[in-house]
Amino acid sequence: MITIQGLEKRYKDGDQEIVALHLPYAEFDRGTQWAVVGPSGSGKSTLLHCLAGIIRADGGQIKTGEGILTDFDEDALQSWRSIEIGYIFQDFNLIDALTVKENIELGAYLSLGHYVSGYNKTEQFQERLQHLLETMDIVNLLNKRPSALSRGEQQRVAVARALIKEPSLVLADEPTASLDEENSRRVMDLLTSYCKQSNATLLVATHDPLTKSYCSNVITLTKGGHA
Amino acid sequence: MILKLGWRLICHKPLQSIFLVVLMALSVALSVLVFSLGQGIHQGLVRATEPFSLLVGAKGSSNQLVLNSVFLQDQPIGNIPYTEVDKLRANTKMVKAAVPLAFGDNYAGYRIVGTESAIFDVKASQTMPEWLRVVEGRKFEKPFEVVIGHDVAKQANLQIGSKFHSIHGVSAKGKAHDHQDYTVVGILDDVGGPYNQAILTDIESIWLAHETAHTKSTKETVPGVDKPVENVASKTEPARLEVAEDDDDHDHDGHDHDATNAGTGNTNVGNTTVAESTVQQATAVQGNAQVVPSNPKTVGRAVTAVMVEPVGYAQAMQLMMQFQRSKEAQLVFPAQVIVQLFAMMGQGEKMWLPVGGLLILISLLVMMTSSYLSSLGRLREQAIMVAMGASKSFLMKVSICSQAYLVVGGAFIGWAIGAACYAGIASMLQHSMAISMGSVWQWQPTVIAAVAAVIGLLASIVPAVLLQRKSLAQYF
Repeated sequence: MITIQGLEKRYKDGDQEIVALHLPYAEFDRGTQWAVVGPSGSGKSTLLHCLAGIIRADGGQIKTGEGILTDFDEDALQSWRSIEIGYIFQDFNLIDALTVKENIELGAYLSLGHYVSGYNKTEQFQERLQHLLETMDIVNLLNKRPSALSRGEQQRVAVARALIKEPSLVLADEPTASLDEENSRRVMDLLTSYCKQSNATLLVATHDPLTKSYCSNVITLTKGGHA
Repeated sequence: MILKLGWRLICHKPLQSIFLVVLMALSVALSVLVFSLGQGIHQGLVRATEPFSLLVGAKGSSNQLVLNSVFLQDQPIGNIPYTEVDKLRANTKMVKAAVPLAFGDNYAGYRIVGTESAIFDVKASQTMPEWLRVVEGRKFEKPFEVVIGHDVAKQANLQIGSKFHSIHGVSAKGKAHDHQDYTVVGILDDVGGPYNQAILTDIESIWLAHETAHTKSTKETVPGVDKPVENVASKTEPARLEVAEDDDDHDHDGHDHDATNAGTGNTNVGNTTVAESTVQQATAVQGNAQVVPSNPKTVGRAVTAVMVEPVGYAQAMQLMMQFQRSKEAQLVFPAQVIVQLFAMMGQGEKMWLPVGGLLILISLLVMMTSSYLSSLGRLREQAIMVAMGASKSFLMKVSICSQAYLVVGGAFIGWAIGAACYAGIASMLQHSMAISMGSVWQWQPTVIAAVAAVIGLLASIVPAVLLQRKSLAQYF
């Protein structure tokens, strides 16, 4: 379970201080799916960034099974991100210098490779990889560069990259924003089925009603970041 | 993964990467080439002078004497009487051996060196074998038999039994002495020096060849000689001088007229009388000791230079002092002449090495700046990797790895280019002057390239560190 109390993030805009996020309380049980909704500027992405440990909150607390996230140092945050977090960006953010296969392997390396030498040669890993590739339907795309793929294919690769390390917390920031309905459904099917199978927690920041419909829980943020 | 990622990142921007590699390569290549050439030429020139402990020749330019006698280049500076050879040989306290050399003719541009069989006993040092070793055939035993150098056999397509006419002077386009054939009786082993391009023959060949061909007035002198050697003979052979005919139809540059015209002993004019009086004159002229000519055929003859092997260094210095008082001849240390030449060349080398070092430094600065700017363009990718769990040390390693490929690759390619250019120049010098330069596989240029690579690697840490201070939050 992840518990948030009084979480706050502020940014300076010239002389003014803007509250990007103010979340008095939230609880996310393990294995639940959440849609984080709200207008632009309500702090949806900021919440995901704080949960991923990418940015530090200016106030409040995030309790996790691993400890109090807001008190983690840089090394602990890096460890949290590499092991527990599967992050999916709005613009896919694949590394174009690498092939599809190498992008996914990088995702695995940054999690498992730090700690286990030869991890990618184990039968267990190879089976998991193959299963993931088949589930995402990207087996035929392995040697292509991301720029040669369609948007839907790129997002499926991004999902595979995020899920290869079997994270306990999947954070998806507008994953279907640039996809058509068919691909949107496909991506959400993949995410929700993985989370159900792995008992992982899913938080999806979204504007899209279709995406929202895949999540059994909703947290609404308002302008100024209030929940 | 780090190696693969670093490689992929530089391959993703091929033009920029190639530019940086070329920049590094050219800088390293210049330094490697300058250094290698300096070392190689020095080694080649020193190696060539090793058999020549001392050289005695006519007064004049010591550089020209060495260039002509050791490197078979340039024109002879003049002649000295053969009695100098006799005098040196008689001085057994100071001189171990004295071998005469006479120049003036060529075949296909290869210098014909008139000498004596004692040249085959010369060694560069006591511990080394003979300098000139006949590997095919035999040494010359009589006039107009030749032993040719290793390169002459290959390039002029001569073998044992081949015959040819010599050409007057040092140019292959001179007038041929077509009245007499030379016959190849031996071929030398590769000596790794200019005498690979020599044609050795009995010194009498030179005298006889010109004696037969030239009937020009013996009043003619060779540039650089203060007193024509024929003055010795002219005092005793006035009749012969009067009947001398002018011979205007050939080039006399470098031509050793005096060697043939002085007191031939074979003419029909007062033959025996001339020879005796000439011997008396020659003996008297030598001054200190009474020197008896070793061979009557050498009476009144002249040579271009004498290779002298001293008994020891102290004796060499004493000989030097003696010749400083001589008006007819000079004694030089060929190795010293080379050192002086290099002192002049070394100024250029001293200038070019810092320039090469500066170029490497500039190229490293350019690479560092380019790496930093390029990495700024990859901050978004770095942000993605941070979100995926990459540590700061991972990002730094990737950055340094990318740089390392460029720096090390550039240094290696630069070393290869420098070595290849050196090998090409060495080959050209080998072909044209038979100067054998040092091997292309010298450790110093490798050290230059390695040091440049290490400095480049260390320098690549700077942009990686600067990037660590950048906030990635803006990319999320």
